[in-house]
Amino acid sequence: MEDNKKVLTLMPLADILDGEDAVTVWFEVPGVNAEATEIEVKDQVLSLTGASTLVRNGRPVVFKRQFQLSDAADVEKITAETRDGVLTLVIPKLQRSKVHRIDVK
Amino acid sequence: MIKRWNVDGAPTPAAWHGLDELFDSLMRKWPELRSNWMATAKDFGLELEVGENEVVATVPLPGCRSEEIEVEVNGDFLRVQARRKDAAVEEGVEKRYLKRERTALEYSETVRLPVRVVGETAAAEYGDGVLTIRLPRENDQRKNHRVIKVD
Repeated sequence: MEDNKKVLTLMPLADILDGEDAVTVWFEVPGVNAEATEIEVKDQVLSLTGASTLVRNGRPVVFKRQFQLSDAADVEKITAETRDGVLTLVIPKLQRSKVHRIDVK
Repeated sequence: MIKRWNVDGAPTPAAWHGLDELFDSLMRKWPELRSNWMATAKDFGLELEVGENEVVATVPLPGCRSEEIEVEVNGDFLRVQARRKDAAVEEGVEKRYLKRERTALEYSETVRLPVRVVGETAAAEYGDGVLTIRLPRENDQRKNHRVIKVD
């Protein structure tokens, strides 16, 4: 997998949805299951690596992508799930980053 | 012959389909032209592997369910159609998208198979976003093998 000459590295396509309490990211990673997925966050940079069962042009496919997270992301509470070749990441927002409405009396 | 189109809601001008097909066919013929940093699974669609006893076709279809995929073998042609649902559109929150890159909601591709296959005994399975179709090769080679007399 580390031999870059043999591996075909592809960028997983992503949809990002901004919710009230969390940001949801869907990555397309066909051929990748939970065991073959590695996600790590270091210095607010999220790195994703997924080894796929797909082979293209005789080379095994590996999906790789990095994302810069904002300071508002609650890194400790990120959850990840794979289903039908789609990796879903839910990145909760920290309380302090949420919009607080203040009533004026 | 490969015919391919992806529809994502709004209609695309016909000229774009032609350009897309031309670009796709060039990139498939010479994948090295496309630099790796921008390559996605979309650039590597249906692929055929011709074995001694069977032809195996693999198609990346992330986010689909098996009941949303149709596979048809008609003579020498293999046709795959798929449609996936957009969860955010169903929940009515699609306007909050910060980024939308994922592949089209509808997929259709038809390829001509390079060898004769037995469509009746073909099998397809879907797992982890990849469709795998196994097409046993026709054993009766008499149709393909002819001795031609030279006068």
